[in-house]
Amino acid sequence: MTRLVLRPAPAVSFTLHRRGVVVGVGLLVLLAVVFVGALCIGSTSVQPGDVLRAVFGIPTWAGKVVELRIPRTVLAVVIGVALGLAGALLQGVSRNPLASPDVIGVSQGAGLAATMVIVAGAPVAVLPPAALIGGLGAAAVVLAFGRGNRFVLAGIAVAVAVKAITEIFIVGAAPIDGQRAQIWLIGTLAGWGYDEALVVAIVVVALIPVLLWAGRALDTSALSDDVARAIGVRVGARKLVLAIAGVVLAAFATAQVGAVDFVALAAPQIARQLAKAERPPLFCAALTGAVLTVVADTAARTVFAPTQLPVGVLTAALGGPYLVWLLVRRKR
Amino acid sequence: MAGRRGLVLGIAWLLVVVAIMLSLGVGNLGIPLGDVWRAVFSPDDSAHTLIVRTQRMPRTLLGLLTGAALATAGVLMQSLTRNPLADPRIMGVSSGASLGVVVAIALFGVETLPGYVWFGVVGALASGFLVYWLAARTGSSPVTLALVGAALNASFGAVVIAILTVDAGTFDEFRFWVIGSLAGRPTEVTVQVMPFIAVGLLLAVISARGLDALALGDDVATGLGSRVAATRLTAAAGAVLLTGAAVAATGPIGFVGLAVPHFARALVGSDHRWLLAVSVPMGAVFLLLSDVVGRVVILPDEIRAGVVTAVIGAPILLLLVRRPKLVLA
Amino acid sequence: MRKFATVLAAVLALSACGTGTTPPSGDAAQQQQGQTRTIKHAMGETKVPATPQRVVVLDSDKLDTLSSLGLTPIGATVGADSPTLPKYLNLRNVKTVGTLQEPDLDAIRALKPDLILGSKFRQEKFYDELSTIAPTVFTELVGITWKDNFLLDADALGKKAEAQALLDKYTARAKDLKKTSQKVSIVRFRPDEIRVYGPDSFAGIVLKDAGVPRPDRQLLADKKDKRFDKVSPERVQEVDGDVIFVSAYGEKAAQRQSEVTAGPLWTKLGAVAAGKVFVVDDETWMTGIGVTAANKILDDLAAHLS
Repeated sequence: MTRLVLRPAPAVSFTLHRRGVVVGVGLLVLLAVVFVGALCIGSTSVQPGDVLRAVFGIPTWAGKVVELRIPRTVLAVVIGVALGLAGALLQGVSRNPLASPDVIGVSQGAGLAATMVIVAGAPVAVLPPAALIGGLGAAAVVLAFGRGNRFVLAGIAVAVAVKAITEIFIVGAAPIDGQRAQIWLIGTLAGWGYDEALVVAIVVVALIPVLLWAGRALDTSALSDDVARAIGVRVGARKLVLAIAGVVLAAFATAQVGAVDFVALAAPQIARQLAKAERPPLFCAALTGAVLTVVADTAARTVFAPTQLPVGVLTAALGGPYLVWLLVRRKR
Repeated sequence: MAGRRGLVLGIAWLLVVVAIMLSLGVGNLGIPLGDVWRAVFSPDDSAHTLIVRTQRMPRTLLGLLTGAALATAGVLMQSLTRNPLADPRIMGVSSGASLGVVVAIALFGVETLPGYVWFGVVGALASGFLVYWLAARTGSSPVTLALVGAALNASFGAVVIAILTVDAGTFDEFRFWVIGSLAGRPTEVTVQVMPFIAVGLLLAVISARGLDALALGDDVATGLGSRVAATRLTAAAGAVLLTGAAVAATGPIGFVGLAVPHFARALVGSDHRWLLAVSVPMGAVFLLLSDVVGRVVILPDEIRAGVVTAVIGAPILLLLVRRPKLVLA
Repeated sequence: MRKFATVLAAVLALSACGTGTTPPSGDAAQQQQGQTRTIKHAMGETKVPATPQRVVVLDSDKLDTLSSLGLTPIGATVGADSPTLPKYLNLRNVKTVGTLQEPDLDAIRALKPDLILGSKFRQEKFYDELSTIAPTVFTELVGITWKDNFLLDADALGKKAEAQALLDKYTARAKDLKKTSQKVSIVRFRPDEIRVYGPDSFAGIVLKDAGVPRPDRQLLADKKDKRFDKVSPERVQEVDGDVIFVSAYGEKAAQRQSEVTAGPLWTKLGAVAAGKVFVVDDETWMTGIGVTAANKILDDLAAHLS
């Protein structure tokens, strides 16, 4: 495997694998295609030529139609990136392909916190920080109870318990608050657009330096911790930082659009397969996440039209069989 | 030894009586104990009597039946898979049953329990097969099995939600088929599910001896003259029937089948006849008490029994997960 | 291999777009003819056309509004649980454009409306995008402010005077209703619960207008939300009154209704013994929330309250 090592600054280095780069470029192209495709599909079909004209501001009859679809699709891309990264970080750090924020209770923790906020009638601005705290709290509990390959199992237990507690809050709330919480909890991109995308995008961009700085930790995660320590990498601290970064990304994404399952679980592994890497490559996982989310959201809004399926339901329905397949493939 | 186990059994059934009394006496409407007593033993025409007899009694009976069914299914599953984490819900069998029932109601328009319980059983069977097959392929470590179950849960659960979203079901309806409840079940359901649970319990009892032998390992068991395949089949049939029936009656309720067998094992050891004898009343008690707690904890609102068992059971699962070695104690 | 897959995906995506409808000839924005009026509403101010012809409504109360004013919307959302339009309104040829919670913006766009009427309570987050399709007017709350909503929507439609006249007629009729001292209980069966309706619900407001007294339990004095309250099946006796009007929302609920009303607890109710229980249409008492529905409630009251 040919690789290129870049050293832009002292103590900062990262490795580019040729195959990873090729896959990355391929995914970018795929994303562009899927993005345009999403803008084509809907109650009014639009030819790709017109879509491209509309995107670049050239006047066309389809201008308004496409304009309507762009914010939602952009949001899908951003959410997909955030979730793909979150999954890649958690899976890379724990070396477990099942470690995903929705499987181990982080999304549910964010959901519980959000429900408590809504039911208490607090202002909407409090939701994202509350969701973040909820997600981190759940992750902390999971880490406390699950070691090694039990980590995911502990996560499942926490996810179940947290969901049950969320239900208690909803049932006990005034009907109007309970309704609002329930609507919020179902992950959906409908009605959301640039504002939400911006929040998540800022978080992703803000974390890029962190990702680069700790990049080496992930590469050595693929080796055993002993070897890593022998090389001199401060394994524990870097792993923790990356795990927290993953939780932050997932919590912010969930805070904006509700729980969108499966993307954080599958995207990293799909990217890993494509790039034939030892651990999920961050960049490719992000792109894969974006592609998956755009496709899922497009399907969710068109397949049963005019009934709109929340994208979270669609991705969860896909996520299960994928998870089964993943487990079957693991050689034990 | 039999003495101690007999004592445990006696206490378990005593607790059943206590649980029944609580379930009849406690509810959304505060009914004085004297009225409850009268309602049971010398019924009159008063509103309180009617409430106890037409609402609390069927609900109590339902809780007893399905609690016993779930605990027994848990024993069978844990022994069959030699997995201390097995439980109808954790292994995804409950959600398979749920999917079966939802398909029956939403797609085939089957309205009543005697009709859709069969779909529930088939659904339980299908997911049981899946888990078993996947276990064989992946080496069936307890953790993997639980993960496979979680994956099946996610799949089936999401399909249930998708069907009901598209089929214009109300949100309340499909919440029921994701986490179950003893409330609001028409009284016929309690009566109609009895034969299924009875047969399931019978199958469990029949397979008890064989399961003892199986615990020693397939080769030893065969050497002892036990018919391994027949035992496996009977036990599996029992587990599937019990789960399918319980889910059809109350929706999927988890953790009863996980926690109760562990307590039972700790108290009476692994002789399956004692295990089953104790798990039946203990399962009934666990579910019934969970239901009672759900009725009063956030008055005047009610929490579904499945939610209470999850809140109690998940920490138990977490504690089990912490154990250094995951084997059937 | 991957390149091929990418190309394949591209081809598939493009072919999906290939069979599009021919581009429509006009754009809704071409309604430059005629004046516009400015309407102040829950989301700010909007300029609407003087006489809107193609109206899309996003909430059930607005269906009643349009129908009462003799208009028909070209598109409407439906509830997730009841995919058809209310029968009491007799509306035909109305295209479904998604659900109350998630309107299908694409479908709305395809209808080329010149006015969109929606509800801030339900669709707040869609407002900006809807505004890019057509002038959009949102009412703030549902039910409790139905009369103000009616007037606001009518204003947007250019029929404020007619609406006011209809409301005045309704109010006069309500006042003229024969006075009664009978306490009226409103009970509704939903698939999962039993509800009683209080003074802030639509039916409760109509009863208040007609001067009809309510049982204490249904005044919901100590509740934050005075629209309705859940009743546990153990407390069925609490729904009693001198007269009971019962409705059921959907088929499952109707089953629940027959179960409970056949039960011994129900038959013990005073109103049942006196034969004063009347089943009414859920659409007009609960989901209609408009002046036509209100008049139908008055019809029921006149018929059954002696």
